[in-house]
Amino acid sequence: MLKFLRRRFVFFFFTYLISSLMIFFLLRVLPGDPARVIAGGREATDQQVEQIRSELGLNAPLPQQYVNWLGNFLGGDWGKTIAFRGADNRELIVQRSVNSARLALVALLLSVPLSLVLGIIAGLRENKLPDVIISLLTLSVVSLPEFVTGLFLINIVALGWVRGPLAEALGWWFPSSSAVPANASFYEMLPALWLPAFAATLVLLAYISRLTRAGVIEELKRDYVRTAALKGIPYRSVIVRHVLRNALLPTVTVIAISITWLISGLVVIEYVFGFPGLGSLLIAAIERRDLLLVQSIVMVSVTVILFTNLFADLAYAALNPRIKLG
Amino acid sequence: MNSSLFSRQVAALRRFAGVLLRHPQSALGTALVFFFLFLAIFGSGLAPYPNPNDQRHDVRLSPTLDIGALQLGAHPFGTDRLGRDVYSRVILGAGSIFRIAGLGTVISVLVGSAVGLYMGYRGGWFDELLGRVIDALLAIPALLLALVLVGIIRNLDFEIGSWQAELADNVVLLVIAVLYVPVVARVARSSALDIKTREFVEAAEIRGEPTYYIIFREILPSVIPALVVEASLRFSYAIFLVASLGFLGFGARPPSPDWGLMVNENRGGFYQLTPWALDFPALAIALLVIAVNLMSDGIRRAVQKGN
Repeated sequence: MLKFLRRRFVFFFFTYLISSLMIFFLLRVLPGDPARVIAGGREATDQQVEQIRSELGLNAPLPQQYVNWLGNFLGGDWGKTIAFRGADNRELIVQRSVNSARLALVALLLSVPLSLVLGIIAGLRENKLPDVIISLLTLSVVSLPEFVTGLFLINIVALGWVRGPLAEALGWWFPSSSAVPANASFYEMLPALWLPAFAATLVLLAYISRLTRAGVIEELKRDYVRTAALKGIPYRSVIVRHVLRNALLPTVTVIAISITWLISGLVVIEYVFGFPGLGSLLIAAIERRDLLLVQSIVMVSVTVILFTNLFADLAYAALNPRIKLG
Repeated sequence: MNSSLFSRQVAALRRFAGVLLRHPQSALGTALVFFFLFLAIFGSGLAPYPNPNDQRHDVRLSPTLDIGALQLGAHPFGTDRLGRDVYSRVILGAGSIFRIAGLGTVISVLVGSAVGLYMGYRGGWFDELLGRVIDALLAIPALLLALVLVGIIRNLDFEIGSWQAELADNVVLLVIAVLYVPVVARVARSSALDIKTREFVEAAEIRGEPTYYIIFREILPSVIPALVVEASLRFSYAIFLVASLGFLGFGARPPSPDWGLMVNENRGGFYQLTPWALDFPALAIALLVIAVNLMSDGIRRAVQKGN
């Protein structure tokens, strides 16, 4: 166990180092001069460029700039934005991350139970009608790009169906835009979260249900299932007590994969719905050429992904005693 | 290459195509992909208005397509708010998505398999180090990296007509190629690890063949099935990525007839005015993505059955 932990942590730090190096150098070494871009392109005078250069510490040698930047990042000093009127990068990113996390939470709460059920049904009825229907659905409709499903939900569901008599009788409806104030509370935000969360759910469904289906099919082929059936244990309890218990172990990993996917999938979904999350902040930061903000956002995303994967690996190892820890 | 080997390969290809087309889903997907490929190649001959930005038409005409009567009419998919024929634009848009996703996939598969095969064959510290770097690269989501790269490269200003400007115009293609190299390399590496312990590789080593010969003539042929599956999977992701980048405004620039861009240009308030200008390109993206998914699923199944 100790050896496993040590290896896992070494890998974690190595990956963190490499990705931070890459994020830094990609944004600094590419041809072109960030200081000149900030100063306003070709029209800027050399003096203006030089001033910005010294303000940003761009005159130091590159390795030193990297160390300074990483040190500042880990120390919590993420600088000020250029794009958002000098707001503090960290405050901005933390606020938007909380919003994205709320959206991700609603999406996971909707998608994980639903897709587990669909995956189990498909796996237990391999190549029968329910499986064919579920597989075809997950392969086609729900594997569409997020912006297609998102726009379908906005244009057809929010603007079309939901204004009908049924919705009025029930007294609720989905707003077609999720452009809520960034500092709204979770409760205030909730109506605006349903549609984007549903768009994310559709894509996650494809992912999780296919993995679950594969897990169930694999477990059903094991010898112990046949033994249990031959012993006369009822089918239902073979499935519930033995097959599902083993087949659902990888769910921990599945949720980790979903969170990794959500980080990029939410960029598109937040943009479509105008939701003030981390993804829409990233797009705005890139469009306004705010390098420091872009670097911090990508670093935050990588940090979340690496911690999720680390946690998933540890949880998986703890839950499954058969895994060789070494 | 002697004739018996050639005919054996033709037979293998035919078997492969047979398995691929036997499943109705994958047959449908493959047919649709070839339909879009046909549009991509011959689009400028098929579109009624070969210039996508032809504005000589009335603005905001509703679609004249009548499926019941099998009639196209003057503007089958209507015209957008600038008076451009949506039908022609959708047809002409097939070219760019196929060129970018297709070429990007081809480059990444070629480079990635060369790197991966070398890593797997050579092994040792080189493999260990590069493998860790690849794992680290894959920790950053592809879309995030693509957005950052495209955003930065496109904002640099180059001399018009210089080779850098030429490169910057094809930035999405390059980014896709670069992003998928590590993914392909990882697959090629693990397949090469499996093959390199076989007797025929050892025999070639004892004969004293050079490394490139062993990698490309001995190992590569056995790895091709795995690479074909990976290539088809990459292609489907690439189509997805090109469409998403186009939609986010990080792909083709206006006024090019890019499907993702057309969807973005006609959403929001414009959707009330000309819903067809959004619906048809969105439908084209949806059909192409589904078709490519069904086809790559079929290719995976056919290759697994072949082994």
